[in-house]
Amino acid sequence: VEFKAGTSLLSVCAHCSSAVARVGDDITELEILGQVAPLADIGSPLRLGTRGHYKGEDFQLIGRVQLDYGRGPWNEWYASFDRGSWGWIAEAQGRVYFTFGKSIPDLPDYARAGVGSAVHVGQLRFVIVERRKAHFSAAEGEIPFRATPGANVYYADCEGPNGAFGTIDYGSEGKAAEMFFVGDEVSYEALFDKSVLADITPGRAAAAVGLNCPNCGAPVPLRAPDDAQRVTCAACDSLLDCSKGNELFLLSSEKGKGPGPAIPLGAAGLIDGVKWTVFGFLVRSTVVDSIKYFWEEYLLHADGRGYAWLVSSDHHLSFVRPIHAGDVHESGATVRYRDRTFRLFQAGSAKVERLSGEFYWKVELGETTGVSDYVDPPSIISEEMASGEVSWSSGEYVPVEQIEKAFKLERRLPRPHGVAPNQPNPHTASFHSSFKLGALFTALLVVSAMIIAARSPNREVFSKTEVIKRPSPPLSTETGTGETILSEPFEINRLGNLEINLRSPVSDRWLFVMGTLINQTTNEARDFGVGVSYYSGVDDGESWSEGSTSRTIYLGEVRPGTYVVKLTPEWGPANAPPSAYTVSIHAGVFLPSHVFAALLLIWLVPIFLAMAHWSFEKRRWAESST
Amino acid sequence: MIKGTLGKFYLAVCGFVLITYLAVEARAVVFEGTDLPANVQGPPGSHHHGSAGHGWFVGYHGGK
Repeated sequence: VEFKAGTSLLSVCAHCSSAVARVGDDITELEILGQVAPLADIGSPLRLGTRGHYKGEDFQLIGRVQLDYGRGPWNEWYASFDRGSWGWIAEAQGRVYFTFGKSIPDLPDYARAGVGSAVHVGQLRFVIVERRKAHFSAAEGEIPFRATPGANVYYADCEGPNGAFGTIDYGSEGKAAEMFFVGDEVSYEALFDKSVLADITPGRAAAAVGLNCPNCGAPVPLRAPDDAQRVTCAACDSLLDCSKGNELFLLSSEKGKGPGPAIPLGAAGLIDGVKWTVFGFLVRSTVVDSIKYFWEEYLLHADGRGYAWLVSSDHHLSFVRPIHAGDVHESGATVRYRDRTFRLFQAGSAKVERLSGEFYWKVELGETTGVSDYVDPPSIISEEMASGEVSWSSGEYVPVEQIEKAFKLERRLPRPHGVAPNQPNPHTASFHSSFKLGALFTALLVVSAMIIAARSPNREVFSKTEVIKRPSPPLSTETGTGETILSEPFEINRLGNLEINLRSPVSDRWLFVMGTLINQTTNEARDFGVGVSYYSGVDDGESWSEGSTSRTIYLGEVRPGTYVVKLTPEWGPANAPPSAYTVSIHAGVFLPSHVFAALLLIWLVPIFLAMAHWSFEKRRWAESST
Repeated sequence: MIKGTLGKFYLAVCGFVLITYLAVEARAVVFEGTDLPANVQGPPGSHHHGSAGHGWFVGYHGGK
């Protein structure tokens, strides 16, 4: 038994698999803790002795433990740096993490470290994404702690901002935090030279060729044997366990419900310049108001990029990738992600109804998770919560035509219907730009109007109050007519309008003044009329009134010249004339109504687009469960 | 700022409205007509017809 690193406390005998621990500081005093079970072949390009480098420092893999929480083991590699420090490289579900132990005070106890809760380490905010009890199932090489084979290990995994990752170690008791391992997500390529990775033959990958379905005997190829945990048989739809070495185990022969994949399994397409291959297909459902709604999800894989999803809901497509929980900040019904705010659209549970293909996790029919979707079109952020863990993903709306073209599909995909939660509003861009253009022309119009108003003379050219005498003897006609008056001549200096105002204290009667504007220079005459009426009373105990004692009219395009105006009053009832009337005339009056009319015309298009925009949003949010 | 056919259409609408407004103000055009005797409000429930046979109308007569 060899202890290469001074920090190692346990070594597994390569011959008899005994776990041998150091006792005290004396390296010659050893204790056998038990027999370690054989390592499960769960696929890894790494081996004991592999050398790598991290942030400019060289390390060597000198030990490995396999931990298992009941759904299959994962690897934790003990990396010993040449300068004496050490860290862990964890491999789980196609992701690789490098972490280093730190003593952090005030970490929450295991009982309080709920999934989704935040843990602050210095300036960094971590979110607990998984909290479980696992057990120490197997090991090889050296280990920096004393671990009895089979002993429990309590832990909580956390994700921080920008790929930061951490694990709170709660030891074998699952009470107070013992250590915080913090680091970040890395890639094999970043840690190891290509030549090192190329030298390692993935045993399972080679052996994966030629696997057969234990139910029907049909061949079952694996596309990514190192990652695959579950695969379905293309011939009989059986769900098979492919996580236990080079053999397939029948889990279920139950056939799921729902449509098959419209994009064939194995099809490859370029999305954002990356070649993605369809590995798997799921039909999932949720129940809202006793109605079951279905949607489809395609599991995509790209070398060096990991996994992504193409989600089809009502045939609207979104391209979805996992994100770090530490980058998402929840606040009530909204979340913040990369300086954007997403509104909660729907929350419920999602159940797997049908599956086919190959999956990197232990999926099964009927698997149910809690799902919350937050939207800021064309993006969508989803939180998926299962027992003991939470994961976040971010998606972008993708036009169906783009996917058809990317995957070179021979058959057209079904066309979307309804409005998707993250479907871009087709009216948003034109609404916003028309609003800006409308604002620009409003400013131009207002400035023009201000100049015109400032230059308008608004000069009174005539004003006269005329007393009306009661007819004597009384008239027998319906209406009365007064004397015609003729104004003094007045000058109009430039082309403009005339504002003619009539005021009279009419009460339960009317007065109409017939007028003629006469240009003494050209002898042109323009007739006009202006009338007032006012009535009031009480009906059924309620008082009412209508009409007005004042009225203004306008004459346009009045040319320069010398004018007189001729006025003849007429009233009713004939024997009850108003006591007097006043006519005043102003030349060159600014008319705000013209500005308002122009503004209305300018804003008709933005108003129409705004209504179209809001109507679309209303249709979108009508589907929301919030 | 605004693109596509709709954008060009709206730009044209805005330009037309602004130019029309300036033209209207330059020529002192008004859109409000003068009153007719028949338009003067009678008592509620009645309809006043004004002076029969006057033939008042709106606009420029051109007479002397």
